[in-house]
Amino acid sequence: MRLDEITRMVLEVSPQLVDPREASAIVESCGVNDRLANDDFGMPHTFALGEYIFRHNRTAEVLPTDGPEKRASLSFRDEARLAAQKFSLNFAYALPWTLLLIIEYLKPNLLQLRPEWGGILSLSLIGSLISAGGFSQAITRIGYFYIGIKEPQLALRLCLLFVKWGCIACCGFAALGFVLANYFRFFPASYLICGCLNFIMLSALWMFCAMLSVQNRVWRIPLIFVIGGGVFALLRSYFGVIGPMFAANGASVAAAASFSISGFRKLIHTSPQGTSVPALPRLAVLAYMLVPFFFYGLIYFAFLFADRIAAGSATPWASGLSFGIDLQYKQGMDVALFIFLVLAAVVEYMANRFVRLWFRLAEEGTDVREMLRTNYRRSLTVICWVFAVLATGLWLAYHLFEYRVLLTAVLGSIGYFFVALALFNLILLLSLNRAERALTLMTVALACNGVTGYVLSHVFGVEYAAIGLLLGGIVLFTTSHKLIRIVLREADYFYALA
Amino acid sequence: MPWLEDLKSIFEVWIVAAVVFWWLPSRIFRERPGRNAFLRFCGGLSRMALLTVIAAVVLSALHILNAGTLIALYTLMFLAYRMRHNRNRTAWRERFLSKVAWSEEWYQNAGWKRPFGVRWQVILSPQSAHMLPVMGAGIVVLLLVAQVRLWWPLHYLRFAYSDAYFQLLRIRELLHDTKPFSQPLVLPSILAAVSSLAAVDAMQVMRFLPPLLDVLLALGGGIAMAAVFRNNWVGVFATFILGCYTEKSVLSQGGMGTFFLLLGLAFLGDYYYHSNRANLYDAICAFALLALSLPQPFPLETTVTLLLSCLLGFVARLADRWAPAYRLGALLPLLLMTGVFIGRPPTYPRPNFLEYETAARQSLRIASTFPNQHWAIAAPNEQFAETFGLGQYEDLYQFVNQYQDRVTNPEFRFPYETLFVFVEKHPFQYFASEPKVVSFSILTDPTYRNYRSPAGRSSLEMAAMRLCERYAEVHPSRIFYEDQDLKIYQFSRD
Repeated sequence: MRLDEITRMVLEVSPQLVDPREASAIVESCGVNDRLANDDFGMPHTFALGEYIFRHNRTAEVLPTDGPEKRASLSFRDEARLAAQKFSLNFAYALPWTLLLIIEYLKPNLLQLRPEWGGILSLSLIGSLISAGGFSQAITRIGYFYIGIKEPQLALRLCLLFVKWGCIACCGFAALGFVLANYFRFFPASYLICGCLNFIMLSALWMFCAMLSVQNRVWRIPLIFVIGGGVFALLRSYFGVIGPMFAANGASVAAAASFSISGFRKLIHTSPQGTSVPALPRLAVLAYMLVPFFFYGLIYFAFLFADRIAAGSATPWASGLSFGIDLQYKQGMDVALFIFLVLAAVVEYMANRFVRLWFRLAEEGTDVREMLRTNYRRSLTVICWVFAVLATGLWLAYHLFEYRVLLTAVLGSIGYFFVALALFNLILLLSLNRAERALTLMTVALACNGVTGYVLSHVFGVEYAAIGLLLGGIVLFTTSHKLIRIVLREADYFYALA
Repeated sequence: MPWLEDLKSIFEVWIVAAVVFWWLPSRIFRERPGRNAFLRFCGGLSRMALLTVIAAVVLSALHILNAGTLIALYTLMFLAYRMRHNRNRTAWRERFLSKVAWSEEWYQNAGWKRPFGVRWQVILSPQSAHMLPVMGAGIVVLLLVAQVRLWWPLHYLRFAYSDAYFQLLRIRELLHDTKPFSQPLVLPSILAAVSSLAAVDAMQVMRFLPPLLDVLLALGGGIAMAAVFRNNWVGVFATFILGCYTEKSVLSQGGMGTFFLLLGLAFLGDYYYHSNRANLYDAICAFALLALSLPQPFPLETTVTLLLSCLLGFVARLADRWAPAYRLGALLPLLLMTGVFIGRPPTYPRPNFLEYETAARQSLRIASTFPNQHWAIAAPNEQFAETFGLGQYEDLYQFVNQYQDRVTNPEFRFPYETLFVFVEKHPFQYFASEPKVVSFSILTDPTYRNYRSPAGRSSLEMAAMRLCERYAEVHPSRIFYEDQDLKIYQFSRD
């Protein structure tokens, strides 16, 4: 056996060697022992041979191939395109949300409903965001992966499969919810049926929106909401609020489904041909791999809306309602959520930038720890500055509110600020394939958020549900920060694991 | 069909109670085998009752007492126990895999049939053969006690014990987060938890669960006697007398305290003979519940029954020691029971009704038909406990006094969205005739004057009927319900 042969065999097994001992282990697995290493390759033992292969491979790897500037970092234009993409994805949701807030503020009677309708519809909206959140995460993961490896046809099939599973699961949740809510007499049966229908439609809408975000055609997401809004505006004057709202939801789902499928078809035609007949991967394995991401999505959205569920359940029994979010609380938290939506875009971009920098530095083989720590601190500082700017900008709006709305908005904004900081850490953990750890942290934070918000809102008043979010955000940030510090200290190890 | 509704309620209440106080403790508080099955059941019941009382009071004080929080609490307890015993992940995984393997094997070998089969080898074992006569007698006695205790609740929605209305009010107060720390605590907390979990109206829970607790009270007395005197026949005798011949119920003052005192004695008795630490923990729980239910002195009939059982226990023990061949320890209680049964067969407890059956039924119908807090009721004060927290209530006497001069005015409207006025065409008679001697304090009590005194009630009902008729002449109205005794007017503002 020649030296170049054993080197090729080792590199076939592990193209990116992390450690000389890894190379030595593969050498030994190829049947080379200390005697053969000495006789055939002139090395004293297999460790020396492994070290030689590792160093030889590293030298070859770090040699620039396409010029140093292309390998070092993205150009300003690419960076700007990436930033715009991240921002537009978040703004696709933030923009319709803001428009709705402004319309509600200017014309408060436009969407006025009976309290029972308000309760069931807000509950179905929150429920749909939570239950579809898990499936949306799975769809995004699978979609990005298969589009990344130039298999859009497979991506379409798998995304549609997950949408189908999601719809079946949501129908199951709706049926279970109907039975339980009817048994415990939360709402009259007619309201419950409408709530379940709304829940299923909205769940499907969020899942199709996740498919659209995978294709990077994010401008279609606001278009879907515009179509829904148009249908509602058209029918509002003739049929009241409820009927047009269902029609608008139906139109939005239809538009989202057609946009997402046509988008994928277009992607299939424009992208280079992958495998000729893409076979589905083993679904059990796929499902097993996506389980942490699914639960992460589920718990993430549950965390974001736990305070609203707590506040909604704190309606006084004398009102005769089972669930209803206080209007002032909703106003305050809507403002806070707007800040979070903008902040989340910044966080996602900064986290993406940080991970790219890390992986590039790790590939170059330089000592990354100090540089990563500096960059991490810088990223958090940027997020803090953006929050400060947003909060200052909205301070004028805060002055327009009553005391209770103001209190809720301030508590909620600070809470969401900590969630945004924690989100940065969570994205890093997900990028390093540590979804289980992220899931554990989210679960603990959700428990803190839910229990504190639920108890405080019932004991002291609805507006104190936001303290649950604040506490949950602080717990999430503190625990994730502690973990990230360990990750940055052992950066090489975690990079190898990733 | 009210009987179908009742059947559904019985099913829901008893199933939930069995799950919470029987199945759940058997899963959470695992014990070493060998302890008496009755004591094990009573121990689990005591522990779970204590936890439930504390949970209900604390959750109510925090304004979060509902089915969701209770289920979360029980689930947490269950998981905490499981995690304490299976700490590492490997153990969890192995446990899960072994469970899967076991269930596969169980299904393939038709293991699901086993619980339905008759276990002859257990029944025919020497120990079981020895226990068979006393078990048979025990079952007969329990059936008898159940028949006596369940007779009124199965036939009537209205309560046979007047204390039940106050207990019902306490349940509703707990469920609506009002006065969480007021007495009585123990029974209302347990019933409030069952009412929340089963999503059954507190009135139905109050109707069907206390009779079961009465049966358990009798059983508790029997277990205490059997444990102290180590004679199961004395236990059966005590159960028989306590269950069939005493008027005492868990609903009456000190009833729950008696129950837990007897259970505590039973645990201590068994601890004395077997030194099983589980008995000690159970006794602590039982005495804690006794302390929470404000101990009252035993009523005379209970004291006499227990003293009689104790005497019998001593005699039986001495007889077994001096002449073991004659089995007097078993024969004496059996003969006594037979004698008592033939001499004075058990009868149903004397009912102490405070309202017509239809009044209770219609209150429940209104509460379940109309949305909460969108209606009001003007009726005697029993309806206050029946509707507290569901709708608004106005005392009939105050209602008449407040509105009788204004009802003829067409501009006047009652200040409620929908108002129901309960008027008795034949006033309900609490006493057969007007009492001859009544103390001054009772005479000045508005409840006695307006609702218990036959003359007071008749005048009030007549005034109420006149008021409703005059209001109906100039305002839209309808009769919600009418029979030979009761008439319910419905006035809507629209």
